[in-house]
Amino acid sequence: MARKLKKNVKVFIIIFLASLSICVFGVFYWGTPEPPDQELNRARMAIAEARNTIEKDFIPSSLTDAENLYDSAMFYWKTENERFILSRNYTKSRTLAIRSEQQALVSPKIANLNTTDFINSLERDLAAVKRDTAQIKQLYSRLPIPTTINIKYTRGIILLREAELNLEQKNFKECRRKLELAKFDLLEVARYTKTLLNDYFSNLPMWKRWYDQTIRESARNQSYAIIVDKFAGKCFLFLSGKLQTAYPVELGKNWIGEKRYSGDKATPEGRYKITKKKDGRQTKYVKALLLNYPNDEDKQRFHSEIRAKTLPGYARIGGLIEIHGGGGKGVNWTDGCIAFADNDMDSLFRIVPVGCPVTILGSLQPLFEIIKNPKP
Amino acid sequence: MKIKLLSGIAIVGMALVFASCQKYPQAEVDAANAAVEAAKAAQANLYVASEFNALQDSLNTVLAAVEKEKSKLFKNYKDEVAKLTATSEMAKNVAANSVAKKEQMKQECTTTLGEIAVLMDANKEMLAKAPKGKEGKAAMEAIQADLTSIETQVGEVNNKFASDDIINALNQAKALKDKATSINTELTEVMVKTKRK
Repeated sequence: MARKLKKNVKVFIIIFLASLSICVFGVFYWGTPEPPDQELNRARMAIAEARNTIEKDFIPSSLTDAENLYDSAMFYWKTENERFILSRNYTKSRTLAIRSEQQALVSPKIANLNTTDFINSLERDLAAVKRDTAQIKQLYSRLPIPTTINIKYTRGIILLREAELNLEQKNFKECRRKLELAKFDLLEVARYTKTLLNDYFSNLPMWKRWYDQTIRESARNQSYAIIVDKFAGKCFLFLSGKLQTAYPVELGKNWIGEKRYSGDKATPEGRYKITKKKDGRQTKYVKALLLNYPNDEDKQRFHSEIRAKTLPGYARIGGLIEIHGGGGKGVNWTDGCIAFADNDMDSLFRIVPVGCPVTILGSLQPLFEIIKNPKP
Repeated sequence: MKIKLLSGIAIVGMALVFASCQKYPQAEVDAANAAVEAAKAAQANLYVASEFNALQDSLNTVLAAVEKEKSKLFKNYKDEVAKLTATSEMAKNVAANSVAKKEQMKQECTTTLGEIAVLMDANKEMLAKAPKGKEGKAAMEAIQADLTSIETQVGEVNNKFASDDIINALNQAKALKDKATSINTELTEVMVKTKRK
């Protein structure tokens, strides 16, 4: 009897344990909460997609937020996983994952708006600076520019190239930074050049008057006349008011503006005449045509400047301004004379007589026309 | 017989419950995280950005898979351990690629600086031989100023190079080389013109 009872107890315990195991298994199996893996997968894919489509310089705060929310969702998932399996609650992690996905999904649209505007404006600005720089270069290379401005120009050109390289590499923000630095330098060069030229070209009406008078007199007297266009670096020979030929010429180093005093290396502007034809030992340039500089207007202007003390009292007006040979060097190099290539000088020397009018003026063209159609 | 069957069920049931406590692959997770950090320290996000993004995504994917497994009643990390090992390997490759790319850019920068030095020597030599007369003085002064400016900026490139700012150092070096080349062309033309005379 006792043995049977003992056996029944044993069976009962085993049945109880087996049932308990099944129950525990059932409770754990069906009672384990669903993890937020699907929400996190979707969030992660949205973040990866956004990372691949958005340029690195334009990551919007929404994508950073999405990444932070994803990290938080993972953190809460891990925290819940540390708890007893049946008491885990993934709601917070799931909510954060959903928010992360939403932020990641809007990011490409936000970035696209910013990126498109930024890149368009960058490309526009870069093209404009390059165009302006090319324009400056056309004028700049012919002007007497101080070293300080020249250094800015060189630095600006190098920075502009760096900006281009950064644009090619899609380093848009660095491109913008370099472009702004380039603009800063090149704008100063442009301002300097513009001021210099605007001041210079304020005499255009007077130059036109001189030109018309010279041509009229040449036509009336059936004689030769020479007109030197300093800005174009050309000398035009007229006969009876009609253009015969044009020669390239080189001028004083500081050719822009009027000649004010001896040693300023400027080529004078005004209406002059050839006073002497020099050749052989009379000149070191093989052939030369001496001009009557200073004329009355030059003297008047010089004395006014001495009186106004814009020139020191010891300044001298200078002289010996000639049209001579020895040119063709491709730079403005004389002390104020007009230099021809030797063969051109030979031909001019043969043609023009003493007394031939020589009008030296700043330009025959207005500045805007020169800028519109720059010549190399 | 009945008793043996019931005992078996009880043992299997208890074994299944305990099986759910399989060990979390902490060492592999730490190794994968460390490998990705090492890739970041090698500036992979800068030099091989797309590879680094892919690596980061792989790490996130495998960490989520590990966590998913951890959430289960019956855990089996076998696949995740393999993926973590693969991610660690991938991170090592990405770091190596980043180092290689950086080294390549460093080489390019050094080569460009060498080319600039050669150009500058040639420019200085031509400048010394250029016509000394007053005709070329202003132009030569301007070129000398440009050369000085380039030399100053070569110093800036070296500083950037030394401070590991290789991308910017290389771009500046390329821009300087372009300028040095344009001066070289200009001077060569002057020399040719001078020789003709």
